[in-house]
Amino acid sequence: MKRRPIIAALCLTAGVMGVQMGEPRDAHAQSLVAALSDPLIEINLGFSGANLLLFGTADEGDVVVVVRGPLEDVVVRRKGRVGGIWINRKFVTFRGVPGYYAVSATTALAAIASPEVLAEHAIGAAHLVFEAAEDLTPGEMTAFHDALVRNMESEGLYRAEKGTIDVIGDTLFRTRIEFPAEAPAGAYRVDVHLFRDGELVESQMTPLFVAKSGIERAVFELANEQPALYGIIAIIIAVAGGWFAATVFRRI
Amino acid sequence: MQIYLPIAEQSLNIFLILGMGGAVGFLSGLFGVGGGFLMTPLLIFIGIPPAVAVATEANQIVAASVSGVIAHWRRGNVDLKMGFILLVGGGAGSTAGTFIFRVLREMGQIDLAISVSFVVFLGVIGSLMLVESGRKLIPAKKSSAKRRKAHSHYWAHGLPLKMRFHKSKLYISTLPPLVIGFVVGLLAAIMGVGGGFIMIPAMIYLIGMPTNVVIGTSLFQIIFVTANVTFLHSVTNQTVDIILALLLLSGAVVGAQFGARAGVKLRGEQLRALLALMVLSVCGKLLFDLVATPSDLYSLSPVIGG
Repeated sequence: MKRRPIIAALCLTAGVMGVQMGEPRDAHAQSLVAALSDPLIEINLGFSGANLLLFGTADEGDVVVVVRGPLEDVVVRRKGRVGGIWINRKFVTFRGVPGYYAVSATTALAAIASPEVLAEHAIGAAHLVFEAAEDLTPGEMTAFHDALVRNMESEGLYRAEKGTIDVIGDTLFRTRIEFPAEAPAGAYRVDVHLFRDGELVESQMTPLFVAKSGIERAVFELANEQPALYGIIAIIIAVAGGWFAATVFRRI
Repeated sequence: MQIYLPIAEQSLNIFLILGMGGAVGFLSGLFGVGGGFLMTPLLIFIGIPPAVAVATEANQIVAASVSGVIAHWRRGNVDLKMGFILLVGGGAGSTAGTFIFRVLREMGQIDLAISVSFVVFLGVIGSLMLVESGRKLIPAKKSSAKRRKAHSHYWAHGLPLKMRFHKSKLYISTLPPLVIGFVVGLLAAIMGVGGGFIMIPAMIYLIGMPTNVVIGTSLFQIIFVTANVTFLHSVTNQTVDIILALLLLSGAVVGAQFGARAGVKLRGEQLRALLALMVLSVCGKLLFDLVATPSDLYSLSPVIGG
């Protein structure tokens, strides 16, 4: 809650800039300015997902916002039926997969730019390109790629084209970005693009961090950096808990 | 009220976890079973990654076994020497089990291995329990019991490495307890169970231990085996979720006390049949998930090792 004044300041700054943007006399003036309601999402004990507000001003044109999570390696496995039960058979390891990906736009993406232009700027989950560690036929590559996007979407981690951007007046815009509880921790980037007549006019990148904090961070770091100590602590807690319970209930 | 689990990396309702701990704890208090064989599948059903479910449940069983062994210890119902021999086997078994777990996880087959193990063991145990309680519920015309004598001699007595166990009043080979300990340790590491459901019948029928020391000795060795599993899973897989374990054990210890008190008042056989049906329905659900065509043939997982 300590950050409230900073947010207010950000709003104010953006507001002032918005007013300035209204009359673009200066040739060097930015025609696109955007800011996030919070540059940091903290995963604490009660975390169950988060909402951020992205707002800004833009000159005439269409605004597209792309939020990308930290890159990870993901294994996609396909089940096959063996002796009546479904077991994992073929798999592909994709490198550089964003753990979160959301696109929102002022209107349908297809109306903003051609597929080629969108692909060039990696806008839309279908246009994300991942490097596969295994050799694949093009048909299988597409099947596994689609499966990856489909599974990410069903987990709420890929939110392609679902979000919309509200436009207020001529230049102000705002959009809400939703993060599920499963959103991975790490460095995110928020790219705001301004398109005009099917061409990219301007882009602005804003960093965003999703980080575990407090006890979540302490537990996670201990488990990964000092696993032996973590294991011993887990055992001590369990022994103490069991002993405590037996002692307390014996007296009741 | 939602709580974020740092290792499972998901948000769950805190009362759901406490309630599950309480319910399984109640059953374990009522029937004197560990509860791991119900809790691990339940955790998987609510969406906890199987690897986290197994390792965390092993951690929770450490607490349940410590809590349970204290009463038996006070009554002198723990055969330490036998417990130690079982533990030697259990230590080796759980270490081997954790290694196998890791390999299966890298191969992407651990979920399958866990499910199949549970289907087999829950199916066998649930059926046996149902048949046994059915036999007791329906008055037998002619009892063929009392087949087992106090000191029957069979093949196990011909094995080498004999040792005297004063508390159990036995002079037997150490090989059967070593092997039993090993098998149970293996199951503990792969399934996140204490293994009492295998251990106790094995101690009575294969080793020939007197029933009064069986539960205490079994609990005694389960503490160390599940502690070893907790430690090794922490080191090799980083899948023990302390927060989840703490919530489960809080619910379980309270539930177990109520279960133990309820068990004194209630008539056992109908309840035992009910437990058997529950075990079989969990088994059925796991089997269904293995056999039914999944809604999506493709699934995602992070890269393990490599």
